Amino acid sequence: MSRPPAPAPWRLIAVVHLLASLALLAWIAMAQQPTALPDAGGQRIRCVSYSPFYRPGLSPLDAAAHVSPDEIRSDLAALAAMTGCVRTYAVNQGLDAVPDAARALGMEVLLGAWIGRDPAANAREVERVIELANAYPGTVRGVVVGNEVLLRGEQDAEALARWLGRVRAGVRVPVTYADVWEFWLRHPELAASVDFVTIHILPFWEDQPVGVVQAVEHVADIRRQVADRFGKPILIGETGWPSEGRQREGAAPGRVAEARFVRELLLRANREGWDYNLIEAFDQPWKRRLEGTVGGHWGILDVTGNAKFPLDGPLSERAGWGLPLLTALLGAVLLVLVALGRRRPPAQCLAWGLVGLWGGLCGGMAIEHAQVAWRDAREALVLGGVLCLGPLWLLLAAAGVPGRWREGLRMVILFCAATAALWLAVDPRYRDFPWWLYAGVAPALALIRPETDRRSSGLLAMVLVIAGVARAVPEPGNPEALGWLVLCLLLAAGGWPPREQQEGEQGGDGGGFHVV
Amino acid sequence: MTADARNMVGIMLVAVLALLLALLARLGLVENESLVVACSGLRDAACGTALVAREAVVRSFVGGYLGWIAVGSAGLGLVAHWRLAAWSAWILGIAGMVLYNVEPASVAALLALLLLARRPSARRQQQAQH
Repeated sequence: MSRPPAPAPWRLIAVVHLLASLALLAWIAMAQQPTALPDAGGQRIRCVSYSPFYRPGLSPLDAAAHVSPDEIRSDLAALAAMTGCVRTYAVNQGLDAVPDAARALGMEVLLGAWIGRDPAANAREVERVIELANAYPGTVRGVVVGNEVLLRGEQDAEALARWLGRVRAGVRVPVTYADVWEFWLRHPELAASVDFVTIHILPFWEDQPVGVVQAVEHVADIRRQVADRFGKPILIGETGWPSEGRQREGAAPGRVAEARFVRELLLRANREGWDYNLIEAFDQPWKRRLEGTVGGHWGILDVTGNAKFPLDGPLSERAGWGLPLLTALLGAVLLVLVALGRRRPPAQCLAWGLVGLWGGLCGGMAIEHAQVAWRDAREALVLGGVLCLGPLWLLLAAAGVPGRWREGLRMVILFCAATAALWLAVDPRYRDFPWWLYAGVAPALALIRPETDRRSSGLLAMVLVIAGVARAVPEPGNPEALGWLVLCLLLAAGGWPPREQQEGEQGGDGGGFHVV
Repeated sequence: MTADARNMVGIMLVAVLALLLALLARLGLVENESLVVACSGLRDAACGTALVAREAVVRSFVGGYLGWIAVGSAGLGLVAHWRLAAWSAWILGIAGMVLYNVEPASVAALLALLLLARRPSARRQQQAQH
């Protein structure tokens, strides 16, 4: 026989949700405060990576994708206001129209030939890049044969040197190969095959991620090291900062962080005469397939072609309260109405209102995150479904719907969260922390205890704890990882079997939460 | 030791075994560049076996087959209450998490864990006794 469950601690529920809501509102308010940044107005960007595949549904990974010369002309016209040079990565899929469009605007091109595993495709790229370099001598300022080929392991250094030799023999402009700086240091023999050394320095993606405060100094250090090593001209072929996505240890993406990096880089590079190329012109949603949310948000322009930040003046991370305030009010009103409809005492109605306030705030944040992170209809369907589970559980609990349904829904929420925790524990590099999917319901799940035996919920709780700890331990300086651990612990508390079952008594299957 | 505890120990031992084998396949075959370099152009039996094994492992996870077979097994275990399917999902799920099929394999492994740890209902125990 089970003991009667303890009544839900309404006062505690109210206080916890009130404090959580106030903290989140304060955080949103702080994110709207302007941050002072160095001014870089009037500075021109030396060169910027250009890919036209930011348009809806386009991806260079789709062999059938093709971009028209008109689209390229329109993109370069927009970029000409801020730079006089673009870097490309291939000459297929319509990209061979870039030199012509650039010449019309008086711009230069660092023309890229894509080198991958397929020798026939490589040969086509190399032949076309030679033709273009010779056809546009005043526009093509250099040819980049291969991009991060050694990093991807698609060719060895010897094969790369052969492709480089073939291009060098065919063109009159300088030729180079581009890779992450560490791969240049591992393969110094390639320096003999290039006219200048092109290194990628991405402080965010370093094995030991570098925070934005030290990022430009890090770029300077690495540039100096590589220049000392090779004694050849150095092009920083890629450097930049993302505006969205998961934090990596101390390196946090953000609009202010990206603006800070770009402004500091422009000032430093232009002052010291670095040859550099910023990654990148437009946000590239398709890159989220490869690198998660972060991958799609390195642009200085968004997918509508608007600048993401100015080069002068203070800047804030957020503009306005937006959706979260609206959803918070909606959540609070809805749960109060449901509680009133069940003729609950005023204290319980107040507590449900605060639960709704917090749930709504988190729901609004989740929808904001979805707009930058969810990649396709399938993901929207699955993650949108998961997002609905929490509010649904709160509604069922507030309405006093029979416990079997709520218990089942609690299990589904815990199962989804445990799955996400496993993904983050095993394969974290390109995954966002799905904080907002579960934060809205987690405190209520922890405080409104289950009363039935669900040994499986205890198992899920254990998985949540282990996986949450496994993610946080390698990233002790990452507030997102620590926040995810706290959330895992809260969810685990919501799945931990009630005391009577822990003591060996088996409860019934269909009982309910003691919230009625 | 209670029956429940023995069951859990068995589940964990199988998990450790599956984990070790999958790690061996990943680090010893798939990501072992020296194996490919050493065996390229050679025709001895050991190299042949190693390269065939490597190819088989790679084929198992390219396209997510390993993970989705694990999900299928877990689904079978759930719907048909077939314990063998749950064991299969558990083993393949653990292996899939190591062998690059993290998303489906995690779902399968988690579901399999719940199925394997489930206490048989009184009705089912009675059916089993009859």
